[in-house]
Amino acid sequence: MLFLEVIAKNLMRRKTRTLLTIAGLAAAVATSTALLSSAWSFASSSRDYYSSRGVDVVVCRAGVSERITSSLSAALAGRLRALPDVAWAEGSLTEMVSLGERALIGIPMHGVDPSGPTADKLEVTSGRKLAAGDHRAVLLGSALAEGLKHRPGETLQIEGTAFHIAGVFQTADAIEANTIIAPLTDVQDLMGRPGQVSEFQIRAVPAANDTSISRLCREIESLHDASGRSLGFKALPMRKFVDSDTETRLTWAMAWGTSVVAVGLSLVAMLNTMLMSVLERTKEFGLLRAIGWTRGRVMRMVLGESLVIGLCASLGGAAGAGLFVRALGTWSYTRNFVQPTLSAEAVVLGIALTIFAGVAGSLYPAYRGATCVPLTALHFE
Amino acid sequence: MNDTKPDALPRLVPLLDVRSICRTYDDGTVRALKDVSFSVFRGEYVAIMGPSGSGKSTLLNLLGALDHPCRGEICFEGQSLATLRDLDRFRARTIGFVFQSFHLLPTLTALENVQIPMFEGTLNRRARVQKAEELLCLVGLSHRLKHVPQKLSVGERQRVAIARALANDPLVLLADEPTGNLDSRAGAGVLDLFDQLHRERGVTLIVITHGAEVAARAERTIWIRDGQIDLLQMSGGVVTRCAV
Repeated sequence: MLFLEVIAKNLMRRKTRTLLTIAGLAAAVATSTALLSSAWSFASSSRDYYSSRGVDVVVCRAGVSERITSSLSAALAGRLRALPDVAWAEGSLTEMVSLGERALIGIPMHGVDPSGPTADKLEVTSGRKLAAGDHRAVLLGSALAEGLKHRPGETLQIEGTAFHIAGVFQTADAIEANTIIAPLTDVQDLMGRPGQVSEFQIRAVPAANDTSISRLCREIESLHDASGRSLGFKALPMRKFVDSDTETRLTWAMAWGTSVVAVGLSLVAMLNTMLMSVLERTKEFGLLRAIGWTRGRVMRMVLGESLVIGLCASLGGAAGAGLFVRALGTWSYTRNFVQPTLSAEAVVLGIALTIFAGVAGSLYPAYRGATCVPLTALHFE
Repeated sequence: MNDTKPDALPRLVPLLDVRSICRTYDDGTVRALKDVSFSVFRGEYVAIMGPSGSGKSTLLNLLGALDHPCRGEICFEGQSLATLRDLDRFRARTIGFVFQSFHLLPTLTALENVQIPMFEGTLNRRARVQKAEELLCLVGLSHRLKHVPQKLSVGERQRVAIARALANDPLVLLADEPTGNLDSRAGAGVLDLFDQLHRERGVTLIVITHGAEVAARAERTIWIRDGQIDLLQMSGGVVTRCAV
């Protein structure tokens, strides 16, 4: 018989209680893993959106908390292109639109230059790319096209205006796959924001490094108009821009906040379960100590029981998180924001947090069981 | 205490030497044992008898290093228990306990229960299983290896407990009312087993009992009353009154 078998049999003594504890911890780990994975995916999606286009710096209006409310003059792109370390600079306008026929709201629509680098890098798998001179023509992300059951050549109502679907583009990112790409001027007209962009995306020259990119950001922020007034730019290296995004930070805050609560509740649940288990087995612990088991071995037995519970809960929770995220990724209200896959980092973190909660919650019960006075414990009623 | 057990000590050197031990409780108001002294030699079969409340169980707990005397000392192979730092390990290697209530782990089979004390030893898994099987055969339970305590009769449970007590080849077997919860037939079976262990394997036995039929099996009976040794009786009826 292995020591592990002793542990397993102790757990199977109260099957219902063990299973309920595992289920509770699994629910906690599923919640934290799913939320952490969503946060990870959200952040990496934003990073992928920019890095796939080779963007090194993102410029928006200084002082805005919501990037989507940032408003800059599109004409200022020329000032940016003139800077020495800039390879190209492109303005884009992002708005959240409603699609009238299906009453879908909150669909991201990006207005870009049809002949610019953003539109050029799109992988159009059916139909055609946007062309200079296109008017009221859009590209749909593949997931959006599939959800709307629309194909190239058809018409789509966006904010009450008919647009022609020129093509469908493919992307690995689930969030981007639920967006619309349109000519910048069309989006400006549609949303009543003539001559405006939300941000500028800048590609630095090939020789640029972190130091030169930081310097470029400072140069951009110091640009001023003819009267000497600052242009009000906020320029950040791409990764910093993504990480400082309010929505990203809120997502992380929610994910971590919920995870901490989940871990705390798991710890309490494990403490309750193991304390009850130890108290019920007081006589047994007295016997084990009487026949020569050391305190260390008794502690290892109790901690081993919690470790097994934690591991089972982790596996169950990871599976549950996968199902949960998959459901969120297909549900119409959330699929625009949630990748339907788990990130490996979130799974590992969720498992680690659960095992930590499990073991931490059983430290006191293990100590109590190990330090019982054998004589007293043997006569415990 | 040495890590390795010594070869057979000369019989004149006591295995267990109890020297003027006292034990009080409740801040000295209850004197469970008063100035008790006796010796047990290797291979002896000793019964400790006395009425309820005489201090038998207290004495057993002290002999088994489950409790400490307030005065006096208990020596095993010449070494005082008071000088030992790791009493857990001492009990694992030296003492085999047989309890009145058996105290078997309910979720483990007979074979697994016998292996429990061996985890503190050096045997690997295969060796533990083999030794446990041998011990259960010794106590006549070769056909009940895979049964949990619930499926065993009370007599069989006590036999499993005896096998468990022998798991680490202890120097002495301490039995607390081993037949107290058994019917006469099962009890006789257990006593026959003790006889067999004592006769064939030279096991040193100390049995706490208030039953005369149990004490009759022993080579020597120590009578205890009101916390003191009252008389010593050898097998064959020779009686000596006073503590030894």
